[in-house]
Amino acid sequence: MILKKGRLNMKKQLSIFILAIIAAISFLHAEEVIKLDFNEYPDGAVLGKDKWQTHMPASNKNASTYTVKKGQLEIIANPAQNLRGGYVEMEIPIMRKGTIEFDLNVNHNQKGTGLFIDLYNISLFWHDYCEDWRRYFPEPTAKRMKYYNVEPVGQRRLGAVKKRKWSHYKIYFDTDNDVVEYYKDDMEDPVYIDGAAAVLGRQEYLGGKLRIGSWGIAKGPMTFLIDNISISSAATQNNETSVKRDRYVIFNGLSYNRYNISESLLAGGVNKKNIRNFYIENPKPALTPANKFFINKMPGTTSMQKAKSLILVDCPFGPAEIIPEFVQKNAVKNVKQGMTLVVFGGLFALGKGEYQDSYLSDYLPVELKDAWQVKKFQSPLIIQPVSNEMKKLDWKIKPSVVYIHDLKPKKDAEVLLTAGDHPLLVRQKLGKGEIIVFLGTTCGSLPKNPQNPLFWKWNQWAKMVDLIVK
Amino acid sequence: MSKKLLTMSLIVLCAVSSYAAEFCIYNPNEVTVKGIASIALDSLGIDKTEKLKITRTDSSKELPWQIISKDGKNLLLTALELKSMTTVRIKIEEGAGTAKALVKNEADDYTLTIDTPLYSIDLNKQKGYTINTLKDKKGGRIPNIHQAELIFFGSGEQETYNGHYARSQKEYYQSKSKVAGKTLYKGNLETQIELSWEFDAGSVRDTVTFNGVNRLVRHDVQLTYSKVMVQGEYRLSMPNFSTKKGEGTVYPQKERFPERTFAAPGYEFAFNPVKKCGIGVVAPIAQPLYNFFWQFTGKSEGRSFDRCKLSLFTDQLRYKKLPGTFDFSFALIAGGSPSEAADYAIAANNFREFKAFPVNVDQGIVNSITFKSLSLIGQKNIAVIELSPKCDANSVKVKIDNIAVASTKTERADCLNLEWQPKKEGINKIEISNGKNSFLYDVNVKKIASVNNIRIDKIVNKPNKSAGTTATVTNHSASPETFKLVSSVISDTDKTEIVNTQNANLAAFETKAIKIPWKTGAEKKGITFNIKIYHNDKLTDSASEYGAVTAFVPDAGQYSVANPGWFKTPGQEKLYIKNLRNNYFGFFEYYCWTPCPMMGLCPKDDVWDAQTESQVAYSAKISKKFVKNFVKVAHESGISVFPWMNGEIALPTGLDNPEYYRYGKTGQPLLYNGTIRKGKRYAIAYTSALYDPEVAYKWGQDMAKSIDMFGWDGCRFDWAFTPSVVGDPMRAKKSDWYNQSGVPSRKLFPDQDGAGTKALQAFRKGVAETHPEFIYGTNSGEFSPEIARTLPKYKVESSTNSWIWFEYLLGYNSKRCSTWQKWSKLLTEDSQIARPNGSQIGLGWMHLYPSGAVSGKLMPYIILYSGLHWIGVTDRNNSLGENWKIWRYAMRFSKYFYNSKFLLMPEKERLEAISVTGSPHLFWKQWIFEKKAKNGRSLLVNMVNLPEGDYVSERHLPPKPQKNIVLTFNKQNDEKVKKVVMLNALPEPHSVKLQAKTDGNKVTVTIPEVKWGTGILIETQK
Repeated sequence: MILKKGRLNMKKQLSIFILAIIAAISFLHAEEVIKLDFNEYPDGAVLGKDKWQTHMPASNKNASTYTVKKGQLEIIANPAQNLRGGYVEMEIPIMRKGTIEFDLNVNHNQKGTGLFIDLYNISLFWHDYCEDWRRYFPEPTAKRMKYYNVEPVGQRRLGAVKKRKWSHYKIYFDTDNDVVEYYKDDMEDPVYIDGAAAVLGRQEYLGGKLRIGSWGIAKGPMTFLIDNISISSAATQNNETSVKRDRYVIFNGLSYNRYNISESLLAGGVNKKNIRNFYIENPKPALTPANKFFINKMPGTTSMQKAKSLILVDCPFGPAEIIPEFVQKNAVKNVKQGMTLVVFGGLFALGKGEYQDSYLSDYLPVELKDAWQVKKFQSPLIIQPVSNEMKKLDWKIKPSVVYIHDLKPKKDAEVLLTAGDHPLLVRQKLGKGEIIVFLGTTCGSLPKNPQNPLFWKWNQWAKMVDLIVK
Repeated sequence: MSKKLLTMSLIVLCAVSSYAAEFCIYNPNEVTVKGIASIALDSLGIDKTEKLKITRTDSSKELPWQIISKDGKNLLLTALELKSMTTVRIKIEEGAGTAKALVKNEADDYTLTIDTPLYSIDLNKQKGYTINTLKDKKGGRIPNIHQAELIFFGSGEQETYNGHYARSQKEYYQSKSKVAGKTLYKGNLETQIELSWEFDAGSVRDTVTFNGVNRLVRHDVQLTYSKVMVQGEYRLSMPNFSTKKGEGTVYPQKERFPERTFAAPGYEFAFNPVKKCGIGVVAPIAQPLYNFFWQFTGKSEGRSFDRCKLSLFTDQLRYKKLPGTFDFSFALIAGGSPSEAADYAIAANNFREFKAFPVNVDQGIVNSITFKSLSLIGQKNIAVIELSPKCDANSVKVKIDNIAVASTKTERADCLNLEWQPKKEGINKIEISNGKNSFLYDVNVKKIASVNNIRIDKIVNKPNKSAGTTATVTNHSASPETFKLVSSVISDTDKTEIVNTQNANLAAFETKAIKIPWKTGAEKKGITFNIKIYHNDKLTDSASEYGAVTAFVPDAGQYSVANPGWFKTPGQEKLYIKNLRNNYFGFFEYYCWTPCPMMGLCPKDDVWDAQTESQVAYSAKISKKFVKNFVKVAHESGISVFPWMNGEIALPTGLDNPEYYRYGKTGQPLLYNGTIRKGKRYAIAYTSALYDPEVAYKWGQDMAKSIDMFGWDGCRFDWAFTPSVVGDPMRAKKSDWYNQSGVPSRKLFPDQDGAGTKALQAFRKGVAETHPEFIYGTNSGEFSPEIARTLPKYKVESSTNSWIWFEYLLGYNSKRCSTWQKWSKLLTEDSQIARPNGSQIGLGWMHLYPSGAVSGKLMPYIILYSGLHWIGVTDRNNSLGENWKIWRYAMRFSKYFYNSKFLLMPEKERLEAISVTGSPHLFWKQWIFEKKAKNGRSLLVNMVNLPEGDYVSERHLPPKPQKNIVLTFNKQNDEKVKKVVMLNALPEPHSVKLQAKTDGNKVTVTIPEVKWGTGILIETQK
């Protein structure tokens, strides 16, 4: 990527540069195929003469223009009918896995929908009415966005876009795994992941081409500036095992403040940069008798490949498939390659989080039951160490728990902690990694200064978290 | 000066090359003024000259001058300082004047700079010639002017009806327009520029005049429009006007927060005493200007940055003819101190432009006029008029306000004595003429004493208590005087009771606040507190204020809601309460304030983080001290405070007590929200526990402890005991939910009506055991006949002596509320389900009723005449807002409008009992209420004058007043009509007795006029 003065401030440039290096390192076998910074064109050059081909509707030869100005591509998308705003395209070799990156400035204040950029079957467009960035994959009409009755099926909002500001975009695609990740400005974790995307897909759609064009939906001309387009391929068989696993990917569910996982890891000496937090939210007033959760972001391929642990803290899988199956599959795949998956219980996890019948349920070390298996004990249950690792903690004061998921361990599972007679921390190996389930919940209260404090208030809790997670 | 007088003025006295003339200049203002006089040049017999000398005859001081061309005429301007209400003569002669230039007008590509000895202003050409910087040469520089511009608002309503017409209004900013600027003239004393621009609804021309002797920058604006406009605004917006200490204030109020409006004419002036900089706006008398608005926020008001916003709004334009023009003038005060600003406001009506009258020539009349006594109404007033030498005293005639007044000769032949007793308060116009010309003189006549302001200490008073009222009284005479103050309370329609009589001694010109103690006596509902002031047993002035005496506050006032998103900073409470008082609100709610809606009524910590449904939008830290203090301040003003309550549970409490959660079929607690702010999760969930009467009773006891802690007067439930709310036991059959063990709600609550009722009874019992006067309030959800049929026990329990929201009837765009008539029917008939049990009902927060629009004016009448209270924002601080006058009326006559014993008569009966003539737009058939008593009955017939058009809309034109309406009452055989009274809102609440004519059982009265609405009270006896 070439950085140009005045486009992004130096701090942002530097951070993008560093992130780009990090991203490049993560794709160790990447080989660059094409780089377009438009510096090779004289000022005022119009695309269409060399590798670029221009396609304009017969009735409107100037539906859109593609001119190089000061080393940037300026696109003017004029109003057009029937989404036929014209485009330029160039042949791109077929790559099964790789990235496309570019800098883009939506340099107008029109209300409209103008620019699209397509690579293979991946279609990106900028919705300047709603001031956001969207992706489009052909999908059945049943998947139409709510309230959108006329726009193409298969579109999804990827994030807000500020007009007249440069942003850096990256799309990682892996056709063998049907994954497409969309990044904007933050190159660490994507704003969205498509888990079942036909990247190359049907030849009749686009084939091996990069296409930049206009939908022409506006009352006046819309101007866009593009620069530093870079398309890189990555080897199809990445040697993932060679990547150092030093990250902790945390899905923070409803009671995450009580579990204090992130803070416990920091206290245990984990570098803040290696903790990646994701949050389950339910922000809108819910007037119906069902929760409407969503997750603010998803960990990208890089984060998952580098994850030492993936930690689900009172994190629901449903309703509405918050953690899609491809993420669960990816998690299991990474466990087999050496990652640890930890599930912390709560009123929104395990049986209460719709883990039953999920892809992950077969791999969990406990037998899941229905949604009503959290049990209250009139007297708090005293927590006892079973495994040698757990016995290393200071147990002079023993912690307690009031509400637990009352579940049985699977045949090959190992119980590391008990609460009374009930298993509390259960582990099972899977490939090179392991899956651990903490069956306690952060529910209930005790009188002041109890003899056996609740586990999350126990003075050894941070150390216990450290032991479980690491 | 009248143009006629100027054009008729001097005959040439001198040859062109040599001339001399004298003029009498008059300062009609009550302050010393530095101003500019203009004289038509042709009256001097010259065209243009550079050889001129002007001197004052009293001091021989040479005056600066300038010749300008205006409207095709050449005018001579001169500047001088004149004491209050005095005249001085100036002499104009040929000669080389030496007075220096005072005003500079210089421009480059980006900026036009106006520089005077007092200030320097840069206008930004790139931003429509709006002010970029203002430097006070005797003070400091305004740190940052973000806006100093004209803005016009156009009606945004859509053309076609799609359930409503609503759309936000359009805004046209000067700074965003292509403004053409040109200098019309410049010179020693004045410079004038013309700014013009166009927008899609019209065009604007703003002629701006700067002068070198005072700080008034005059704007003469003409708006030409082709589409419906709403209002014009001149806005000053200045970030960082103060430092973090918040030292800046707005004068004359000397306040900062909350935002306020004040009626025009007048002035508002923002001043920073540290930076010694100020800026303000003056609205002169007789200009079509409506009000000022200001907002001053900073760190001390809990805001992240300091900003002063000060606006002047024009009158409403919504109902002007299309196309049309609208002219208005105002002045900017460019710098100066608060006292200077006050002076400018007094003398701004004529923009400090003096009148000049010719003297010492054939047409001259008056040399000077001197008052020997004060201009007081009813008092002897003496003035001495010194005539021009060539004026024949015998030819002089004097008129005051067009009535001839005799003048008498004095020892001096050139002087006349004038004696009269002014009968009219305010400006009296003295016209002195000699048959050829006239001299016009304004004199401001005042009462000898006036009652300026009345403040009842508590707007809502409890019966049989000691109360107080404070009256501000001024002695306008030049000698000490003793006045008698007689205070009375008027209740019912006209029942008057003198509650205090006392003498007040005031020094000359003294203004004094006088305390008036009184006893409230028995329950009265609304009252008028009237004070009459007498001088030598002669009534001098009288004024009234309105309040209430009641034990049940929902009977009298309106209701507002304070949100801790903004109401949490010490310092806000006094002004907030003051604003509620000004709008005649009797009580308000503290919304979403607790650390847990269900279990946080008595917070343990001194400062807590609110964890409620509002945390979808914001987080708020609230201190116990602040809450206690605002409740105290409210009580001192007679305003009651209701905390918001809610059957939801915050995340920490819910995790501690999972058995309180209400669960969905996934086994998860059902959440209302789940936002994360600054690393902390806020998640409110529905609770099932409060439907256990034991839990509800303890909850009531918690409420009682909360009253002990904070002093609440009542509460207002939301999302609990509300049959329309998801998960309420009363909806158990409609929406399944589960308890912690997975038992479905339909099995938990087989008797839904009984479950809700028992829980509510238990809660009320828990509070009432220690606080029997506590008022229960609730959001009814829905109070339809269907609810009354299916939940009869709950209906009675929840509406017994309660305060009830009808939030469900807000939908102006729903078909059932789309016309005034349909809405009124729903309001009136649904409220009949609750009112018979002693409840008061309110609703509000309705949209589509912009202040000033016909719909905005009608809405409070419709709500009131249906027997409901307003819940929502105040209106007195909104530009064009006048709903407070209806709320004042509602409080005054609450004994009738809000009397739950006045029941809606069945349709057939009421239409047999009453008939009303008038156009079909006079709407009354829905509003005939009857209160039965042993020896007679009272009927209340409310009526509004609806505009044309079926739907609730901004688009209505003001209805034409309906006159001479005949109301016929078909009385029963055994009853006699005691009285018929009209209850009116404007200009102040008042009752008018109507003459009833009886013919058999038919009783008729004639209602002289209904402009917006009136209530007719008929009282009979057997």
